Amino acid sequence: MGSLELDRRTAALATALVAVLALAGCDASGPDGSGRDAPPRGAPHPLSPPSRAARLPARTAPVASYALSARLDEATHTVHAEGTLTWRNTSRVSVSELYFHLYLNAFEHARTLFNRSPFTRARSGRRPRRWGKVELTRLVARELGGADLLGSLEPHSPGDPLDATDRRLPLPRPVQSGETLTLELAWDAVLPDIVERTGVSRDFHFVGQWFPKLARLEPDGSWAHFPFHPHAEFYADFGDYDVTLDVAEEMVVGATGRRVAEHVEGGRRTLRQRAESVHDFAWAAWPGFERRDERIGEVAVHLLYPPGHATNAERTLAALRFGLPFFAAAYGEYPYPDLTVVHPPAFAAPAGGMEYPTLITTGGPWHQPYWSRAVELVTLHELGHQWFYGLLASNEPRWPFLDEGLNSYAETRASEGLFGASSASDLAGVELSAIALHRASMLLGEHDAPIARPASEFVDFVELGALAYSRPALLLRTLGNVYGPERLARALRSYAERFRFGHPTPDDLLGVIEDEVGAQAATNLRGALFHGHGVNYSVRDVRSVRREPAASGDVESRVVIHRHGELQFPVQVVLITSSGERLTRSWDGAGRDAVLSHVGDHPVTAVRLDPDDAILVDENLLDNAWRRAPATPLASIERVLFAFQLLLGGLAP
Amino acid sequence: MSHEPGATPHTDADEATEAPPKKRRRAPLLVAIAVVYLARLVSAALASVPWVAAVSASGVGDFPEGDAKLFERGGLYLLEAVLAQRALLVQLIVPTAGLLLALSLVGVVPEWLLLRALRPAPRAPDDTLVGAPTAREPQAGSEARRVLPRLGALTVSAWAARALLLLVAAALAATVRSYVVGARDERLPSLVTAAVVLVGSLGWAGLSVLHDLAAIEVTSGSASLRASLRRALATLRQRGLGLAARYGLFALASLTVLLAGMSAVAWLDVSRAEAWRPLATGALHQAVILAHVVLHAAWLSSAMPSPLTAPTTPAAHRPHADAFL
Repeated sequence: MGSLELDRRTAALATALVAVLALAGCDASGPDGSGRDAPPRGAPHPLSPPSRAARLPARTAPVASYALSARLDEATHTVHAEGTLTWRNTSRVSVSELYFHLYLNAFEHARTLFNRSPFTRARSGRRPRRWGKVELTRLVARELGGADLLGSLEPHSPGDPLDATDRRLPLPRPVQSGETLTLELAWDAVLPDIVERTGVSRDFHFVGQWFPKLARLEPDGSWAHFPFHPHAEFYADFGDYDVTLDVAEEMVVGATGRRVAEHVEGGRRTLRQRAESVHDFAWAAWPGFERRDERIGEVAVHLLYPPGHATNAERTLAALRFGLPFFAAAYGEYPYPDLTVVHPPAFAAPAGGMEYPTLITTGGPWHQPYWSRAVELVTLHELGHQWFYGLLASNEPRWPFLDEGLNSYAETRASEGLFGASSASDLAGVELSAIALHRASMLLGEHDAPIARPASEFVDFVELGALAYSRPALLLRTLGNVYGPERLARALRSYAERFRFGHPTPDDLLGVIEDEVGAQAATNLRGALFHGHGVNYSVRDVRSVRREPAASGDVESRVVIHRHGELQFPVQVVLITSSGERLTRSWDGAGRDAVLSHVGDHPVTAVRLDPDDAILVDENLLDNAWRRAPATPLASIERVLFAFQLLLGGLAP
Repeated sequence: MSHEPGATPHTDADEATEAPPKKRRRAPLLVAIAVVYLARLVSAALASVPWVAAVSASGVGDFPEGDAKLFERGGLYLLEAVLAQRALLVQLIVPTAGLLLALSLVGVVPEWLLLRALRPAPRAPDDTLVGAPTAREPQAGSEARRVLPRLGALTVSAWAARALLLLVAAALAATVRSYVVGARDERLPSLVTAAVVLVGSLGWAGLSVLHDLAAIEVTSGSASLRASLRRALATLRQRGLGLAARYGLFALASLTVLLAGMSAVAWLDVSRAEAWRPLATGALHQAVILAHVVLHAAWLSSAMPSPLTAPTTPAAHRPHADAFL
């Protein structure tokens, strides 16, 4: 054979190979429906009750409203601000003190509560290289005779002279129930290096928790005040915000609320944002942002993202196009006219993955692979917080599970609606669901400890993730699977409607669960939340004997199922005989053991507990089956063998 | 047909009594390919044992579906089993890595057999291209004693060279990235990394080609390892582009076979519990491995020196390009 013939064959082979590879590369799935598992786009929540004729309230009476003007000094990374706080005493009693959250003081030095322990540091894992603080320069109460109250502000958090994030202000006279107080404020917010959500990194500014925020006064007259712990988030009253921002002209700004005015003059850009019925205000300013605006239903979405992230931007918008109507169908309309999404640049990544009213931050590298759902998951998660935190403004430091756990549940529902079983990733046919990841999180952390605890009582972020995020999500999925998905959907919808623009507590959630799902469901949930109750079902024993005298149906089998733990869920049990017959039994979970008998011509040779994997909080799914002769793991053997054959081929030079 | 004066003419009778040259050469080649494949199969099986035991110990075999549970969509049981066995799996990593390296070294034996089967039979110094009597093949035992240690040393050298390449590439990428890390467009540092990876990949391929050429030299002559490497470098300089094209083609073919195999396996869907599915998947996977071995042999064959350039020493080559194709 001559070289020419070899070359022709070589060329033909090369052409064919390139064609095959090109075709193989076309099979990429994604939320734009190009893949084989294109989910229904924009479908409403599959479990939602029929839409109601009356719309839910779009606002609430303000309690703590802020009218502020702030100027960002880009050279010193300081926000000089002033304004008024109008607060109404909505409690039943008069109060003689106020409490302010000065969250930025957590970054004042290394010994604050936020920074002092090396084991509970910020999620970024490091301390700021540049410190930050809030320094009040004016605090006057108009209705109290215009008295300057700044000198009365206690210098540090109660009982902690090294922390200044929780500050008590004694008042010269009580403020009566129903009375309004107008406070004039002026302060400087020195932005720290971004290690946790807020601060400055190069010329990127994320300005969160930057103003003196009044703590929430509970109806009984107690203040929900707390120093800023690294595990904790925030809690405040609803109000109206009218904020004017003054930034350098080149800055692109994303902020809470709707932009009502903007002009440029003398090298400065001034913009005015208004947000009604929110409980926080955050904003981002960076000259490097690119921007896309899109209307999704009645919501104007503003997406700010770094250069090179066009693909991420499209994936983010695709997730929002699905998520906004999905969450609205499940938990009530999104009541605000705007939603701003900020994707921080990589060097400011700790500002990502966070929620503020009408503003969320996402994140991730520009090269998100097609098989990873990370962009969509973080978008859906933070979007879900607009309900579980934004509208249902629970006390995050006190009950972190109440927003994170419910939101994690909502996120798994949304991501499954978008991607099906591959809601977390789909690589080379290996699909991972968000539920599987939450279960892994639960198993890796503590899962026999109470969930309904303050954030400060969790040992570390692993435990917080396992107990405040994953376990509640799995508990809710279990309740739905066991007692009926429609009942759970009704319960959560009812909870979202009843406490919209409110401050629900765990008892509020339990009450709704009991009303809609049932007393047993509520009992289980209460046990898990407050007492760390768990459950593990297992097959304890299986025996078969031939009855005497021999006759038709002469084999009696006895199957013992065991329940370990305090939670009690009804469970399905499938008995499989040697003839292949499958018999389904039920056990209500009462007592520690259930003895199931079967009489027939063939013995029971296999048992499967919970065949639908309904009980996702079962401590160990792998003991939910029994087989007289365990099957040879053929599929695993050949996969492992193949993997090592490939590895050996790769090792061979 | 002309022949050198004094040479014994090759008659039709002689041709009739000899086995056809192609078939005679093909038989040991097929055996060698089979040995390479089986050696890899056995080595992988040895490495797999503790990992498969870990899977079995997870209890997944107690399910009516057996270990098909591990492949169900969503990965619930896959993660469950991995987490249940994670302590054991972590402990297996280092010993398995060591075992794989040792088995790779042992793999020079089948590799040598393959090279031996691929190389043309040696010819006498005054040999003509056609009809000349062949010189005797060196004894396998003595050749093995001479060649195998050199092939082993060559393998270890190739690993060291690759490790050095990785270190250099990582350092280069980090250094260049540090100059562009402040760029507003985040694609720039990634492009730097991609460029380094591309150049590094070419270097990796070059090392592989060099190794294979050196292995051919080691197997085909009595030259030392150092001399074999020198000759391999000389060959690379002479035939670099052609060799690169061929290597690229066979690498591309290997990748295509792998991707096609993975697509076919995905279609088979072993999350469904019928016993034939993992068996069919196994057959497909083994076909992929066998195809890789064959492609590797084809590449080696194409990298063998041509008759015009082969030296005429007692172990000289008479190239037969159709020995494999």
